[in-house]
Amino acid sequence: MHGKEARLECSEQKWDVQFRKGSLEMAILALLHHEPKFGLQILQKLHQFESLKITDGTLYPLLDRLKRDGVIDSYWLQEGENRPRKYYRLSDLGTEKFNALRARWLQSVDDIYGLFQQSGLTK
Amino acid sequence: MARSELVHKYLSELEIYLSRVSEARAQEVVQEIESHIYDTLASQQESSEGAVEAILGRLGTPRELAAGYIEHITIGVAPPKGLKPLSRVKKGISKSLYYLACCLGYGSGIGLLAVALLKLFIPSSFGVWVVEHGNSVVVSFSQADYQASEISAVWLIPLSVLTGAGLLYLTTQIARILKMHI
Repeated sequence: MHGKEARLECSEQKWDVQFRKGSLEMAILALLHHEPKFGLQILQKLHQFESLKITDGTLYPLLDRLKRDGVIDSYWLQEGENRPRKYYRLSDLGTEKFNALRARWLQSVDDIYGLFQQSGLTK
Repeated sequence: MARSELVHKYLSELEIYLSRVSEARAQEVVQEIESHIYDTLASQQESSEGAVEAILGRLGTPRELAAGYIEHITIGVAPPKGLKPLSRVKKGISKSLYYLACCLGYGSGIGLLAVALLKLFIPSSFGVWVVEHGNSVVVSFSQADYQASEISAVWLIPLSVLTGAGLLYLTTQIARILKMHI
């Protein structure tokens, strides 16, 4: 019984990791869609949403990876007396990718909700 | 430790762990993390040592944070050169094992065959005696001990030939397997 529970928990965690990975990337692209932001701004925005909370140490390497993938760009900007900050913005590729992802995401949310409704699984 | 010292120590350790990426990139990462730390402190309007420690805690240890940046480089990379001597040691072990097995196996095999041959040709002056209720075996060219009982030729010759030949065969097989690992 123990083994089965452990396996179930393990596969749930794996699923959660994959799900989070996908949704976090999309959330970051969404946050940068209208205007460039620096790391702390992205972090604070993400922390407003329960399932998107992320630690500081996870965010920065993730931004680095998205930049390597070519979906975001970065530049340094110094405003007034503040120390320089590294801003991120969507690249052309990123904008394109985000629009496609967004459409698919909305479609699958609709589909799954519809399926839940058909099966009487909504509250 | 003062808070700026804490930050400084963290950042210099981070830079060390980022040595796998180019220096310019490492510098940029360090600068970004530095500005993150001070921006966070400013936004909290609290700059005690505890606040700094909390921020550094959320970033993870310098090593963990650096790992996130160099993961794509380290995945699937061949083991470091330092591991080579280890495989050489392993090789040395299987080599000596090979020679040991050959010496022991062929030595005892040939010895047993020799016992059979000698008993066949000079039965009167060569034999194997079991002494003291089987506690020791004496192979000798002359008539041995008084209390020892001799194993008769009827048993000794076929037994020695079979065991000797078996040992030689077994040794050849083992040696062949060991040779593949040298």
